[in-house]
Amino acid sequence: MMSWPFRIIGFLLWYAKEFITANLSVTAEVLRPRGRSKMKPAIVAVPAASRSDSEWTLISSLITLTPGTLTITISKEHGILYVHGMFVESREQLVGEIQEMEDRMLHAARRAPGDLTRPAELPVVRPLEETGESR
Amino acid sequence: MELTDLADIVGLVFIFLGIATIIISAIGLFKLPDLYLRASAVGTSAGLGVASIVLGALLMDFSGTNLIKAIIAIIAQLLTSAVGSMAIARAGYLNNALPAPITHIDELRLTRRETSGGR
Amino acid sequence: MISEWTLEVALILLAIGMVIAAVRGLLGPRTMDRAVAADLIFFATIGFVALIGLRTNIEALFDIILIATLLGFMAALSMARLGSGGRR
Repeated sequence: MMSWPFRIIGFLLWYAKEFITANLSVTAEVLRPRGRSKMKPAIVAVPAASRSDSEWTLISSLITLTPGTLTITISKEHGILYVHGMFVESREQLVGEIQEMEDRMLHAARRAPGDLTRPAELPVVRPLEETGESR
Repeated sequence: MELTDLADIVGLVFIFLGIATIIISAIGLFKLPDLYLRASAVGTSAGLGVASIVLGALLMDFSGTNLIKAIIAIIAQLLTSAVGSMAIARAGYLNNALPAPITHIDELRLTRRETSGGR
Repeated sequence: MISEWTLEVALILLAIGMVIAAVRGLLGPRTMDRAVAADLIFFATIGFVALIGLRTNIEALFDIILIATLLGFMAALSMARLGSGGRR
């Protein structure tokens, strides 16, 4: 187990690699002719292990910063990130990618591992007006 | 070749890479069908595009204080552009901007109000 | 010097990118599509300022870039507020 500052550096290096490959794949998709498009967009509810406000902010910013994935909204009480992905083969693939990033991020950001459990089932969602949510 | 010439050339390469990224995302604004995909395409120039132009400018005009300012500028750009594109995507969602039909999974669909209006 | 005319070429290319984004902004069709286009134009403007600064050798170049990158997201945030009708 590496000490805390080294874990942060390791995460930043891993993230830089992800950032550059994501940039390349989005750029390639724009330049690809329409007929050979590999684009398969999807909006997926990803169960998240983040707890504090700073962790939520960090993970949603990191997801948005990688081109091709975009946090549209989060639901803190249900522990769900709603992520729009540009190249999504299946639901499990995007959930896996986001959860891997979150695992690495939490591993680097927390001094102690802490609680890493994720909600097991997706909430039943209704339009905003009915639930009275303002955010 | 002198070292400053080499730094100028590498700086120009970075600047042209950044400009290429910005032009490609401008093309992406036309090629991609909906708001969320367009926001993703703009994300490439927000991060890599601006960062590499600033890096190129730094190499062409190098000094110690400029190095610090450029590093802070790149970090600030990465942090704030993510916040900006999230705000825009969320406003689109609140405004019922529907994803393009090509979107094959949409787990936010149930939260959308039935009216397909919006601005 | 090599950099004189290459910087001018770079400025022209950047202007082309801005024009393409501006056409998207004019076409819309929705407020948020325009906001995304305006966001991209802003990023191109940061590049524009950097290139003009290099071309004319101004002292405060990196201070301008720093302020632009620090405050640029304010425009995106206010456009988002505008588009969502005040809802957050």
